[in-house]
Amino acid sequence: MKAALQARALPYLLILPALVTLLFLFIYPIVWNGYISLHQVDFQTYNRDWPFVGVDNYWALLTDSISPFMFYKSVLVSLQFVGGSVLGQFVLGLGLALALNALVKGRQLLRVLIVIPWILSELVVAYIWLFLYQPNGTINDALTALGLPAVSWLSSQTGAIWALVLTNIWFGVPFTMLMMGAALITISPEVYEAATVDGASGWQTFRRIVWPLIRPFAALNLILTTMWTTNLFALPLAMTKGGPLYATTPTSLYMYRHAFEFGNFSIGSSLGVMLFVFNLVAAAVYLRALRTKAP
Amino acid sequence: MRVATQRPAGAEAIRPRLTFRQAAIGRQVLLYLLVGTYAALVLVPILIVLSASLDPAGLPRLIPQDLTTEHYRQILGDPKLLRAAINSLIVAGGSTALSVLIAAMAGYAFSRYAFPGKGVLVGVILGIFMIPVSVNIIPLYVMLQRLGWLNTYQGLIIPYQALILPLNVWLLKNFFDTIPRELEEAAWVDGAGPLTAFWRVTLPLIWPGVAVASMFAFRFSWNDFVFAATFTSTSSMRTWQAAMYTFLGLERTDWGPLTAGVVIGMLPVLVLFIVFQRRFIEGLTLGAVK
Repeated sequence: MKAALQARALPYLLILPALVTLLFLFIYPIVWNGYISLHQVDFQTYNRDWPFVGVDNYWALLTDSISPFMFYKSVLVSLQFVGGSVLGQFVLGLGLALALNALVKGRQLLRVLIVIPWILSELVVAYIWLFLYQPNGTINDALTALGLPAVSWLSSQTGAIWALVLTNIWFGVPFTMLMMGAALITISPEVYEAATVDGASGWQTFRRIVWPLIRPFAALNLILTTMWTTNLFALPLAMTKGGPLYATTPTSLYMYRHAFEFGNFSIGSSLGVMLFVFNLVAAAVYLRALRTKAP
Repeated sequence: MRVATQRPAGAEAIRPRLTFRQAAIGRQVLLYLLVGTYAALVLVPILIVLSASLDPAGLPRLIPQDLTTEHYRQILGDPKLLRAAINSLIVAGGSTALSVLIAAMAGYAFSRYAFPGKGVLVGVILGIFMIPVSVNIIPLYVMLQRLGWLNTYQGLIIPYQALILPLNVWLLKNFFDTIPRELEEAAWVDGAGPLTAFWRVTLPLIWPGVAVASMFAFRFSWNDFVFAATFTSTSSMRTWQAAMYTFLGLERTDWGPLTAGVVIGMLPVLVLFIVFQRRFIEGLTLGAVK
C-alpha cells in the first residue's frame, strides 16, 4: 500500500523542483509587479512603507505627466524598432530559407555560417556594431571609398533607431530562416515537381503553392518575433543606452531606465505590467494560430 | 518543354533540354551568389572585430599587418576582468548543472508516467516559456534584494533558470521518449530496482540529450548581461558580459582591449556551436515549431 502510494507520488515529486522554480520566477514576480505598480516605490520610499496610490502610476503614464515625459515617444520608438526589425527579419529570413532549400549542395555549411549571429550575446552583437558604426569606422570607410557621404549612425536623432533596427535584423534573421526552413521541409518534393511539370514559373509556384502551405508558420513566426522584439531592451541598452536623448528608448527600455536609472520602481513596474498584458494578448493570438495550424 | 516533347526525337528535341538545364545551372549560380553574399555579411563584421583585437592600434584591417596578443594579455592581466571570467564560468557552470538536473527529473516524469494533471502541467511549463522574463526584471530585483541574494552567485544562477528550464524540460522529455521503456523494464525483471535501472540503463543512453541541454543552459547563462549587470554591484561579482558592459564600455574609445573582450565573450559559445552545429540548430528551432 505504501509502495503503491509512493509510486503514484513519484512523477509529481520529479516535476516539483522544476515547477516550483518556474512559479517562483514567473508567477510570483507578476504578482509583485502588480503590487509595486499600485504603490509609490522610489528612491525615497524604497526602504520605508510603500504608500498605496491606486492607479495613479498608470494614469501618470497615460497622460504622459511623469518626467521625462516620454511614454508616447517610447511607444513610437517601439513601433519603429519592432516594425522595422520584424519586417526586415521576415523578408530576409524567408528569402534565405527559400534559397537554401533550392540549393543542391553546400546547404549545411551556408546554414551554419548564417546562423552564427543568433548564438552571440546581445552585448557582443551590440559592441561588434558599435565598432562598425563609429564615425571613422568600417562602414563609413566603405561608404567614403564608394564616393558616398559618411553617416552619423548612432548620434542622429532620427537615424539612430534605424541603425539599431539594422543590427537587430542581422541578429534575428537566423531564427526566421530556421523556422521557415523547417516549414519548407514539410512540403513534399512532389509538390514542386508537379508545379514544374505544369510549367509554373518560380514566382507562381511560390505564390500559389508554397505560400499557402507555409502561411501558418509565417504567422507564428511573425507573432513570436514581434513579442521578442517588443521585450528586447538589451540591444539598445548596450548600444546607445537609449540615446541620443530618448531617440532609441523603446517602451521596454523606458521601463528599465525608470527603475534602474531614475530610481522610480513603481512607474517601471506599471510599464512592466502594460508590456506583460501586451505579451499575453500576443501569446493568445499565437496559441490560436498554433491550433489552426494543427491538421 | 511541352512543344519539345511533342516533336519526333532528334537533334531539335535536344536543344530545349539543354537550355532548361542551363537555366537550372544559372539559377543555382545566382542562388549561391545571393546566399554567399549574405554569409559574407555575417562573417565580415566578426572577422573585422577579430582583426582589430589582434592589431597593435586596435584598428580594423582586413589583411592584418603586425599581429599582437597584447590586448588579450592586457585584459586578462587585469585582476577585475580575470575575476569576471572566473565568475562567468562559475555562474554558467552552476546554472547548467542545476537546470539539467531538475529538467531531467521533470522530463523523465513527463515521458514515462501517465498521471492526473499531466496535460495541465505540461501546458503550464510550456506556457511559461511564452512569458518574457525581461518584463519582470523589476520585481525580480526586489525579490532578490529581500532574499539578500543581490550580488551573489545564486542571485544569478536561480533567475537564469527562467531562461533555460522550459526549453530543457521539453528537450529532455523528447530525448527520454526516444529510449524504449522496455529496456528499463528488462532491467527490473533482472532484479534491479527502478533507481538502479535508471542509473545503469537509461542514464548512459540519455547522455547525448544531457549534452545538448547543457549546451543550451551554458549558452543562455554565459550570454546574459542584463541580469548580471542589474543584479550584481561589485567588480568582484561581475560576469564577463557584465564587466564588458560596465568597465570597458564606459569610455568605448580604446577599441583594442574592447574588441579582444568581445572575442573572448563570444568564443566559448561559438566553439560549442561549431562542434555541435546540427544539434544546436535542431534544439533552437524545437521550441518554436513543436
